[in-house]
Amino acid sequence: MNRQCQPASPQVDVSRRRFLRTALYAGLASGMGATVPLRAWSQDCAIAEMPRTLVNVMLQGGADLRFLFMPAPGHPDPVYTGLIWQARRVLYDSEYPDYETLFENEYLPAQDNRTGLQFGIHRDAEWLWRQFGEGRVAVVCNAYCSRNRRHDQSILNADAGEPELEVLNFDRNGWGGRLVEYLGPHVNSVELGDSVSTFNKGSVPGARLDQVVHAEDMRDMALAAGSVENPASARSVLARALSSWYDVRSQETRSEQPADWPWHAFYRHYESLRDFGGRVEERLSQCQPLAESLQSMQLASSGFAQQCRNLYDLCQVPDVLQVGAVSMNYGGWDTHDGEAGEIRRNLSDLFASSGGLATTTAAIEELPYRDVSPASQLVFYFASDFGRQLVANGTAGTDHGRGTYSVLIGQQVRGGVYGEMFPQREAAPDADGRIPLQTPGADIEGQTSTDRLLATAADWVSPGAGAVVFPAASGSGLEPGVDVGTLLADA
Amino acid sequence: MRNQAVTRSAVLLAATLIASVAQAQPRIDPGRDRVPPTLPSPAGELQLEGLTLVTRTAWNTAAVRRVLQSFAFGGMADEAHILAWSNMPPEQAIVQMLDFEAVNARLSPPDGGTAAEIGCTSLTDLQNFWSSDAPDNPVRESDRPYHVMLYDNDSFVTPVGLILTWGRAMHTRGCNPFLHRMAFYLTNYHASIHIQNAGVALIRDYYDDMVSALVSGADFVGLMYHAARNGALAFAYGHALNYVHPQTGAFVGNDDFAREYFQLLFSIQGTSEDPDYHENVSIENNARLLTGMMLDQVPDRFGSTNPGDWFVSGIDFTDHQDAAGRRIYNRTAHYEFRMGDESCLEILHQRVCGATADAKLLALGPVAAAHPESMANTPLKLIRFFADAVIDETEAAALRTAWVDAEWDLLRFLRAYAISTLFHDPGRVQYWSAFERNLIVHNANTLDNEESFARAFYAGPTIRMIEQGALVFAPIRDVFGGQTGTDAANDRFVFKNAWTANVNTPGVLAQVQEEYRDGSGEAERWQKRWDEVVPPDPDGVHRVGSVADWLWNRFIADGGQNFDVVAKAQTYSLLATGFDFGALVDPERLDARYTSDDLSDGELRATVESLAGLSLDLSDLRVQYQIGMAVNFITMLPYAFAAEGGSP
Repeated sequence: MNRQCQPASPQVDVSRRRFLRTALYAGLASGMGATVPLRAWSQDCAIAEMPRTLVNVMLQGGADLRFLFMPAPGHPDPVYTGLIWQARRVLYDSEYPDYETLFENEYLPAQDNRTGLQFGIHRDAEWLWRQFGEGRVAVVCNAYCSRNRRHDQSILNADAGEPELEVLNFDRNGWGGRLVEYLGPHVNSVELGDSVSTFNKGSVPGARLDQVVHAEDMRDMALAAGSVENPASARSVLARALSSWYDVRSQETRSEQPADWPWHAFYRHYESLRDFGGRVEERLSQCQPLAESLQSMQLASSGFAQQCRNLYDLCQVPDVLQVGAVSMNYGGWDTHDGEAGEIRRNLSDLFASSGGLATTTAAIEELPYRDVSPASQLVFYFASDFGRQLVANGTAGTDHGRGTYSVLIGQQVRGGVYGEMFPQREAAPDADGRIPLQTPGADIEGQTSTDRLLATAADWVSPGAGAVVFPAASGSGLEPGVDVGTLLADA
Repeated sequence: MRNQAVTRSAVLLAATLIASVAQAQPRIDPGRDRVPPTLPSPAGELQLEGLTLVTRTAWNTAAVRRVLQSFAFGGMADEAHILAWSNMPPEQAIVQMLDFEAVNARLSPPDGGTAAEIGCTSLTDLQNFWSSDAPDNPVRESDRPYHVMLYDNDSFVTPVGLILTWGRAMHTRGCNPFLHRMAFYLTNYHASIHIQNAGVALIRDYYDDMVSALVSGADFVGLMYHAARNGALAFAYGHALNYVHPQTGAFVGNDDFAREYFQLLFSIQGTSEDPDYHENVSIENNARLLTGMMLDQVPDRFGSTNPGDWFVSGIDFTDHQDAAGRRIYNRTAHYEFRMGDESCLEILHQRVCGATADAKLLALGPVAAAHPESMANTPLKLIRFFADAVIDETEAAALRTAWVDAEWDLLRFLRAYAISTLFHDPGRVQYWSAFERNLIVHNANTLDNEESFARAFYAGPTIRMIEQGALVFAPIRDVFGGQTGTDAANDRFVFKNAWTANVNTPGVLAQVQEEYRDGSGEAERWQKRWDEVVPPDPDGVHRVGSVADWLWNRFIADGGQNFDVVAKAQTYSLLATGFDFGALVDPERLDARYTSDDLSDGELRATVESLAGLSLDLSDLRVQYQIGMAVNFITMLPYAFAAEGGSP
């Protein structure tokens, strides 16, 4: 379908103030050699083509995705279901008499079409369950993004896309930053959350944010400006004094100061807000207002709701943002106690039929486009610090583990289960004679390194990117019999 | 790491919804404002191995201001003290500048005694006093309800009063800003918990407990012991419910704090040895150590009907019945309680013994602090917070050596570092968090306590900090701590929101008078008095150029080295006329840009120079407002977001 924006309504017509601001931005942009066709914005609000884009959703705290996926009662290994029932029954809000009842009340039945494996997806993730049924969800089992159980180190590992990294230094690049560098010097990693994660950062020390756009609120990205009507007001005076100083000194200090001069960052903030902020605000005011469904969306996490709104708006202005990668996050997965209450709230926010992603992707599907729907160009990848232990602890929660499931969602994802979803080894004695599902401290054994599948995803964005962005991927861990090279339609 | 439900908007919303009037609260007995004596130079004590004392030539007023900004939110010392300190040997000055006394009268003069009388060592006391209708309560009448713990019509306590009280304490003369900066670090960064997980009452208790420990002279090991045994942490992490079954000996609980005790309190990651030992012996046994730590409740605490508000932070490690009638089995719920003092666990390759969790924590602290990873990482963690975002290997080695020599004496370590060549090295870079930047700016801009108390809370630093992602007791990384300077520097919206604040509400920094009602109910008028603070030129005249230089150094503290000609042109123009330089030069071309070259030659240069030579009547309220405009300009430049170590 090829829909065009409606002509601007009188309510959103270009005001004098906005016109003047546009003229100012145009002047500034032309002065800096920008090539964006500014005049087109006020004339034509057609959506620009959305490039293939990976959306990295970091689930901060170490998500227990074994809570999300559980074996069906008819699992081929009844010993396994018996043990996992004993190991995890205390996690649930209700006291169930047996595993069958638990499964029936908590899970929606799903089946992997390739292997025939039957399992359950938690009821609070109904949208995810539907997406899986439509073949848009890949679940990579026994994945690992780090080898440790520490939040800070593991999040750094995940953001860096380097599971074996052992150095805890946040002044480094992330895989989103490396990906946009590969895509070109004008391509950006866009952070939709309230702080810029390491995921976005580039490779040049002192200039790691040069290809990052921080879009915490897409509808409020411009710097406060003076009043055209009252140029003598204190606000106007200060806005002019500061803008004048920043415009001049940002240019002068580029040549005066070394690249690692600590104050460059603040000049870049100014320039980005001046350039991107003004253009984004202008474009969004000309095209689609925020979808009603997103305006009224109520999530437990207001922060994630805002990120969803930002994602919708991002899809309206990908050319302005020059988007190449996107960063989102959702916190609150460190479920040491009372796990059910916390994780169910989180799963609902993310994956319920009325949750953030369902609402947002539906709204994005309604956006006008030229040739390719922006919704079809997005692939969501869900990362987390680490997985959690198999056996519930004494406070109805789970402690830190390592291995986990990696989940990718998108129209171009080849859906299915990649790897052994409920490894038989978890129900059998290990070398020390201990059965993991009966052993506090035991966790999912990580076999497939996340950089393997992320390299595939990067190749989907741009062929050849995977080997550059994830140079160690080809030699990293891979579960026997698993081919993550087929995760995406034409990677 | 936990969820964060107390959002900025929630706090703002709560603040705006307050309708009730504060109940009368008993005030606190006065009298702890003691002035430390001028001591002979304790050079030997302050010179730690690894650190080199800064030279006398490098120890100047800019150096003194740098120390105050890094360690005391800028402090509230007057110009005479700053000058006096710069003329003293640094090892003598630093003893006066930084201490953990309840009141440091030079660093933060009590200013007539109105605030310092209450001691400032307890947020509980401050909150009670500032929310009360006591006749000597200096807080403006209309602000007092915002400081209450429990609103009249509510059934549970609110975080609003605590958050505003902390912010106000940080800019009240008489409160020791170094003492509170350290307590803030300990509770919001080092051994951090989130108000959502601990609750308002417990997190306030925790902060006060740490202030008390600091004032009593506890060293690093002692402070970590006080933190680890604190009920606020036990409640927030959940190990308050951990126990060992007295019959079966089975452990029931989680290992959350057992892990973070090592990683966060002592910076032990477990990477220097067999990871399995750390995971399966040290952490798992520490989980068993952390049993028998249930909290007591005091019914109707604060008048709250919510039992969740009744918990107290001090844990009674015996078997007993608490004031709420609950049976607490902290002795018998502990690991191998029957063994008494011989109840031992292997942790960090040592036998850690004691009859209770408290006794074992006391024994474990020195073991953990002496662990090689702790000795290597703790000093770097401290210095990253207080002063240096990027520490290279040479600096790290020096700091580690000094930490060994300091023997866990935090005060000695930080004092020695603050007068070291490392701190005053021009290559040192410190990015300010929104906490730090806003408090430094606000403390430099607030000239006396009347100004602080006469103005409404929303004209203080707290709301701006919140708007810029810095909410006290709600660290953005939960147990991994609050917004750092690097976080703020990397966050474009912190910059944007700071810009919005200065541009859209310049009155916060530029307001020159305010009418208010004080504790006696009388209408009063506060008026800004820059004229009493800004030093004149030798001929007694306040000239624009000199006032600008003085303002720059007061707020930026770099000795003027980044005060470029473009900034000077704008600052001079704002001071002299209240308008920007562009409007002054050509009102028809308001958006004209003037480069450094433009301003260094010809008519424009002459204009700048003539502006610098203009005299100002600082007693004129209009001129005072123009100073405020200049402050708004200066504090939105990059140099107000980061500082470096050295300057002329």
